[in-house]
Amino acid sequence: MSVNGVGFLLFVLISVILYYVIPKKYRFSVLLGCSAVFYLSNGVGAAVYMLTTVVFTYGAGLLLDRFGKKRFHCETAEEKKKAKNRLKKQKQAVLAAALVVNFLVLAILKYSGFFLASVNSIFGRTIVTAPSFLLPLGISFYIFQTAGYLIDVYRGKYGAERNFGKYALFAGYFPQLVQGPINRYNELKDTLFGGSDLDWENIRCGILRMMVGILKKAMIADVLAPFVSLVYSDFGNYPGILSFLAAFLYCIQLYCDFSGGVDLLCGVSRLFGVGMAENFNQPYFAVSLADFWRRWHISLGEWMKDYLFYPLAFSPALTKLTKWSRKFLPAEYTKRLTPCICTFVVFLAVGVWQGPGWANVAYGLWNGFWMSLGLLWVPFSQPFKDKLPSGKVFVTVWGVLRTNFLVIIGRYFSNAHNASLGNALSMLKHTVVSPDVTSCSFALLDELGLGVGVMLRLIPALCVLFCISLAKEKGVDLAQWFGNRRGSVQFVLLFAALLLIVMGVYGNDAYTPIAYVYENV
Amino acid sequence: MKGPKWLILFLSALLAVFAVWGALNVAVDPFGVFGLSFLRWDSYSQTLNPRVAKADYLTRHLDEFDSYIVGSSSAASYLPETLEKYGDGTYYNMFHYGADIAYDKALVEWLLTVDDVKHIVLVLGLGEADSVFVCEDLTDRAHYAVVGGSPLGYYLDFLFASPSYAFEKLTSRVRDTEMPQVFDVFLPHDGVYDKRLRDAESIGSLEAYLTENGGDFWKHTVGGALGNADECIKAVGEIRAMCDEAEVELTVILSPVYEGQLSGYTDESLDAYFQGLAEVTEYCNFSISPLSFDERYFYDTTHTRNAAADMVLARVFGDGGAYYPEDFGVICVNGVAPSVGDMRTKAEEARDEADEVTIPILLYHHLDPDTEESGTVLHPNTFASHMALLLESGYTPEGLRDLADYVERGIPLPEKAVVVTFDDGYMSNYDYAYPILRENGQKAAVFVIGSSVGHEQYYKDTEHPLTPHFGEGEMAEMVASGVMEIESHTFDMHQWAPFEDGVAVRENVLPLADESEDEYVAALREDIAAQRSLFSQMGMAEPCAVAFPSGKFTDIANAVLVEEGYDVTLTTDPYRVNVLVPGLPQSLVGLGRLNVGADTTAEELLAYCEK
Repeated sequence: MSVNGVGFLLFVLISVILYYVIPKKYRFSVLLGCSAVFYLSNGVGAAVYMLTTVVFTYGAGLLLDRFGKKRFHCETAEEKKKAKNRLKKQKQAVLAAALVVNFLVLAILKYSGFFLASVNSIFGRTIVTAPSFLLPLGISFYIFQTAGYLIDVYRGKYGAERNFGKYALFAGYFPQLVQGPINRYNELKDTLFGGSDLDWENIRCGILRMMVGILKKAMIADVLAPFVSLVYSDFGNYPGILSFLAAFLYCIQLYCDFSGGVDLLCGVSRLFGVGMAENFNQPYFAVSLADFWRRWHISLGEWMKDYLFYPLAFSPALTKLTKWSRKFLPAEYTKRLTPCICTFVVFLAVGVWQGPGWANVAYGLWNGFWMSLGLLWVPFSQPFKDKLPSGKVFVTVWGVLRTNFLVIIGRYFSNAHNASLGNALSMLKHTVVSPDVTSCSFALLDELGLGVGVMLRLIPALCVLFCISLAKEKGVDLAQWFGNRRGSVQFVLLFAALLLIVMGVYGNDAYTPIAYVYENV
Repeated sequence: MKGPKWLILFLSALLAVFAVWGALNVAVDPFGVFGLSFLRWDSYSQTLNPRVAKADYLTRHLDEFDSYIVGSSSAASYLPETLEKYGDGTYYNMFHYGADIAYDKALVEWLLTVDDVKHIVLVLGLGEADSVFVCEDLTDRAHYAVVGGSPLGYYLDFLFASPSYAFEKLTSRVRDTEMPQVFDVFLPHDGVYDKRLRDAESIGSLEAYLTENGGDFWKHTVGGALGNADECIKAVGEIRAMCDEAEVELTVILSPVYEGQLSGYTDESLDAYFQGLAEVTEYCNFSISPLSFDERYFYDTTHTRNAAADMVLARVFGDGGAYYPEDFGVICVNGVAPSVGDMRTKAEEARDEADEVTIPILLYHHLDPDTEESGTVLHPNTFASHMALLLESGYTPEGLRDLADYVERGIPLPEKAVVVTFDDGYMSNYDYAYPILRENGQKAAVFVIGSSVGHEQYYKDTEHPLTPHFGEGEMAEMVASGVMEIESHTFDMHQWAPFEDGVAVRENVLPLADESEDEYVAALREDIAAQRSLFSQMGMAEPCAVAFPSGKFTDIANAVLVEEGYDVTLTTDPYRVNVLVPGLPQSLVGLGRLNVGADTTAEELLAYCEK
């Protein structure tokens, strides 16, 4: 079942009605059943993979929980300490095994083809034929979410979920499966398992957010997608300036696709009274790359911070390295060395998370490089920054432009044709060497799918998006703002939006929905 | 506004959107099902869904027709005007997209119910016997009155049809021109395709045709079964029974099938189909014929040209004046059908004896003993030597009407036929060429510029001197002698820019800069009418051929000329091989000519003729 279709909306409608007519304590069962139906509708094979992960991580969680609650009856403190150490090692072994198995499944399904193709290319011939695996819907999201759960249980942040049905719902809650966000067990469990009372505000806000998501995806992302795809796949045949334009528009496309999908599904979740983690916070208003990554795919960033950055930063190896570096480097740098290395590793992992292909690895390195350099640069840049007048528009605009420039260049890699590093570098070179601005005509843009008709639809949509984003950036709660308008104003705005959604999207044969960029990540 | 009231507001807005949606489809009515639209556009609706739109059109014009052509798109080439030539019915072609014998049966049943029908011509292909047609979307949907079903469901489907149909109709309305475009390819008053452009395309040798259109012809490499043959035969039998009961004359035609489609079926399955049909009805089987092996008679693998259908009808109704191949088609009566093997053998033999001819066409302009020879001026003696050379080499100069007679009626041409033509209508053609040709017993054609006829001193009504052009008297004498044909070089589309006032000078038939398609077509028609009027005033037969000034032309010019009744159009392309294909009028379009000038040697002239 595609979340782009009318079928999904009907499915949600039926699910919501069922949810609220069933007694509160059984409502989580409705969500579980609906999630099972949703996932099974996307293929039994994918459901089997997911069920395996759920069963395995459920068992591992219980085991870790059991170790955590174990009490020691030792004669001496020495014996107790030894027993504790033994238990800690057992817990570590269980966690390590669980994580290895969990990520191994992801690695095999998602990266084995890329890995074997790389091996073959090194040898210049086919050493091993890459097997073709089914890539289950949202596999990265549920693997990361369950891995986070296991680490939290290991750390004793909360106890393991004993009810298998509830755990399965946590791992497979259908609104989070397609695009994330990567939710935390402790943040989700109360509303997810407790069953919400019918709150009309949830219904109102959920519907509005769904509408915003649908419009972002259909009116902007899917309109830009053909042009972006054409130029990325055949950039050599067009002026270099179009490569830059395509990378710029891809930034908008990706944001509207990803955040649009998240808006739609968070809206659906809100209908059930379940609030999921936020994933975006106006990323293109960021004034630095670090700021951008705090606003873009927030749940992944948080996951990386909690489960990769900190464990790495406090690992014995890096602690020793920091101590050792003090012999050669000034204190200002040694204290930045560990964050620098960890940041680099985290962004390498983010690049790999994007999907198989060297271009994705390069994307991670590109961001890791600038982020790490930014950390090392602070001693030099801080005095200069301190002199700048704070709160001035031109400082903010300069920061936004500089950040977005780096983001756009990064998109040469993350969307490279066939995830090929060669293609990304060639496209970048083509932009610089042959911009050929004079050859870029309206006729060419029209040929590439950005004709006057498309622009007349796209530009107003982008203006609306900009205004909404600006308002949100200024702290305006749009749902609240909308609710405070007069009934007639709300009617007109709802009518206009629904007109676009019903006649421009769901009821229109001319609109072909394009799969979400991160649907199969 | 919050709480349940907000949900009511939301649902009200949603309801309003659905109301607007429905209103848009009723107002624009892209399928023509509501009939309330001020934007009624039958050609557009029929292009979108011929089943629905034709049923609707017929309901509104039932009194105009009493006979019908029924079938899938293989019936599209069967023209009502051709059938009306052979009988007393007034025909409407009800063909639809998709080979669907069940719909054909329902359609005949409906026609017999709603009208006092005289004749029905059922045209079959192999598609109907191959598989069951599956209706996938609104463009295939049938009218509820024809196939039954709920009117409410029918209207609801069209009421909430994708708005893209309505938007497309509105934008098409803006882009519409007089000539057919992809969105309005039907002639609603006949129910057939508007093939003005398609059927005015220039077709020459098979090799050249395949070079340009080969991609439209796919061929099956493995033969299979006709999976729906039994159902198809049964349905045809039921149609026969219905017609017999209603005392309606039914003609069943199995239309010509292209070799590439035939090869998709085993001989056994074809034999069973042919025999099965013979057992339920009399029918005319044209499936395997010499046409099957010549792509020029087809638009693509599954669609025959109008010319092929004309030959079929000529054969069915015994039209001795029209051309069709020998042993063309088999009339299956008394339950006996020919075997596929026999039909194939006969067709292949006939193909090997195909009598298409290649015609060289020479182009001369002015003859003058006192001027140095050039590309457009020759000494009369040079011309005389050329004619003598043709005579010695066994070539017989024929007229353009002879070419048309060969193609349209199969009247044979001499073995080494050639055509001699003159452009512009200079007096020297009368003074020098005419006597030479008359003496040799040779024919030629002169293409006159209507506005220059009889102008011996000045260019039109100016004081610019010009080479003298002959007038009415000379023309009458030359035509009466049977030596010269007078044809058209346009009335006034060969203007000489230095002598013309104003900005818009037409030096040839190409459109002017910034001229819209409709303005261009109107200009062409105006010029044709003026030429026709001139010829009429002079008591001359209407011209049948046009030589394009400077050899420049457009597809639209060809289409308009053919529509206006011209048989032959000529260019100045010396490389175009003029292959005349009997029964295929398109082979008379865009013929090439060799411009014979001072540089043309006798050897080159002969080499061109022998090419």
